[in-house]
Amino acid sequence: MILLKEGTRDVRGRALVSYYLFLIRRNKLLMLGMAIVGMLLIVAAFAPWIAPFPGDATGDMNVLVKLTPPGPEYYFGTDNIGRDIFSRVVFGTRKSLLVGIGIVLIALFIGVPLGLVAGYFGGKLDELIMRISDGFLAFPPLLLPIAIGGALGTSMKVNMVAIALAWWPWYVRLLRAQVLITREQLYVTAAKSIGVKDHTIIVRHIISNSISPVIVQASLDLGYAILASASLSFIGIGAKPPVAEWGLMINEARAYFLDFWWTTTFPGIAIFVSVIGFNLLGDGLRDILDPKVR
Amino acid sequence: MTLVLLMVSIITFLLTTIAPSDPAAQWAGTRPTPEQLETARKELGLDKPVYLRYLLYIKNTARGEFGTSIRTRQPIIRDLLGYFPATFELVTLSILISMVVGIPLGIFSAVRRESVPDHLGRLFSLCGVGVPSFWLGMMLQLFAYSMLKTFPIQGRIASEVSFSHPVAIKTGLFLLDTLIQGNWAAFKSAIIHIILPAATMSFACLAFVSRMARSSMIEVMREDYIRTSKAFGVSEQLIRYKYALKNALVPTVTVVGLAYGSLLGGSILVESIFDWPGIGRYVWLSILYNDFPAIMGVTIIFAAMYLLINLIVDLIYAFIDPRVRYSR
Repeated sequence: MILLKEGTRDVRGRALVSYYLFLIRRNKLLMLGMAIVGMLLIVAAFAPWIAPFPGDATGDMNVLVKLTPPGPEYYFGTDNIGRDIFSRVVFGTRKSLLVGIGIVLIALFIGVPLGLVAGYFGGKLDELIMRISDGFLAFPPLLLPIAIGGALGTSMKVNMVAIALAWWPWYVRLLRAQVLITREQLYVTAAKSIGVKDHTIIVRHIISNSISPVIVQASLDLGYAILASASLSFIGIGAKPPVAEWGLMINEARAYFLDFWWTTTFPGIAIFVSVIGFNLLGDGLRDILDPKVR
Repeated sequence: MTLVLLMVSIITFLLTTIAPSDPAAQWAGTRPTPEQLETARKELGLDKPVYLRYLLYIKNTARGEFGTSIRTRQPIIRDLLGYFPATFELVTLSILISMVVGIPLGIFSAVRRESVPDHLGRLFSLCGVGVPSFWLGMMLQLFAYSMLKTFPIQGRIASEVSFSHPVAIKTGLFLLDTLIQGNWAAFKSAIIHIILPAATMSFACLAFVSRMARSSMIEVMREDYIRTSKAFGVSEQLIRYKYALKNALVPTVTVVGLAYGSLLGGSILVESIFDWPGIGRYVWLSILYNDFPAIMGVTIIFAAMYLLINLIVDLIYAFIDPRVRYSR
């Protein structure tokens, strides 16, 4: 391969990057998703500077201005104890993003290795792992986190772990399906035939070729994780007052929202925007990474 | 299927073992002496090793003895059976709505691909997936209460109507019972009370079902046999609604099983908002009161229902898809 001289590697790398950039630019919805997620990240990172009343997110009360409608001073209005809802929504972004990422990471951490092992080694181990996963999947979506929350108590950590414990089987299934395809490929057979150890094959060949559906699913799931976490917090398993968390804010607003619509509208919109953003991102990633659609 | 039930029972049993509340202390009552606690432990079989306790747990669950609720002080099974019809009515109606509205929407979208209605439909699907159901319920309540003032925002039936025109309970489903009875006033009240909760619950489901219907219809329309039919001059209408539709419906049916499960979970959120006297609201109150035995009872029941529904869906799937039938 005379063409592969020193300078060529840079060019190949750069060509790949600009190809992906072209794919991204072509997909308007993906750009929208990236824009939304980017905005969420910025809001979460710079929350103390964006929120006009940062103290309201942690416990300040200003009962004199309670339940004021949205206006120039309080963009989203104030709640029943006078806290600025805009600031609380902004700080809630931090909590929601962290919890969402935490849930997906834990689920990946448990599900990916199990999926790899089940798919690659097959046999009795595969059976065992699949039966355990089926057991977890037999529960309707919110129910297992509720039962776990009921058993372990209510805090954001429990919220996170409970949802992750309900979600990891999906990753096992996803990865196992991919591994079953990948391990039949010729390069795997070739590697085995020259004596490459199993764990090396897994790390070098199987993972990199099986991972793209998992990446797509993980980015979609970030949105759903935020939704699930907010739903659990709404029920009561999750953040406790006076923490600013979107689901909790909607729950707290239940008593007066009929006459003061802004107390529940804006946190809900925040959840909605987050889920849509990650959904578009995930769908867009799928369009980019799936060779059939390219 | 039995293996899965086994796994479910193991998981729920493990949850009961790690729960902080001590069943013996609850059994013995307030301020028990150590001897009473010991007797309580022996009574409940808590001193036996784990695997024996598991067998005892299975035996009790199979018999329907879920224990007594801490909050209502009733046997949990009685609570569950009492509240079940309300939830069943709501969830079933929601599924029906989402199928009746969602499937035609999806098919319509697929047939007119890349047109303005299609894009609108896809936008709607995207929104449906992202909207938190509890928030949507509250928004609908705001809409109904502040602006329209026509739809009630809680309960199953107006209390005045239930006094003046009492419902003769046969199935527990108000819509059916009032029709059977001929109780027109109560029927109207029941319908108007169920509309908002059912709309809330079916919204997310609808979006998902229409997405599935659309993508499976598009896939079917690409198939060779469709092209062949067109080449033979079969009319477009006939192709779409006889050949394509039947095949497109098959994956959509399997989605219904999944949807039922998520609706069971979602009923917890929606019933609490609309004060709908069903199992969902029961769970929500149990969480509020830390009533762990009740939570576990509902978990087992919902998991069993979900498994049953999926089994039925699998059977229906085998029934409508001859390929599955003949491959056995």
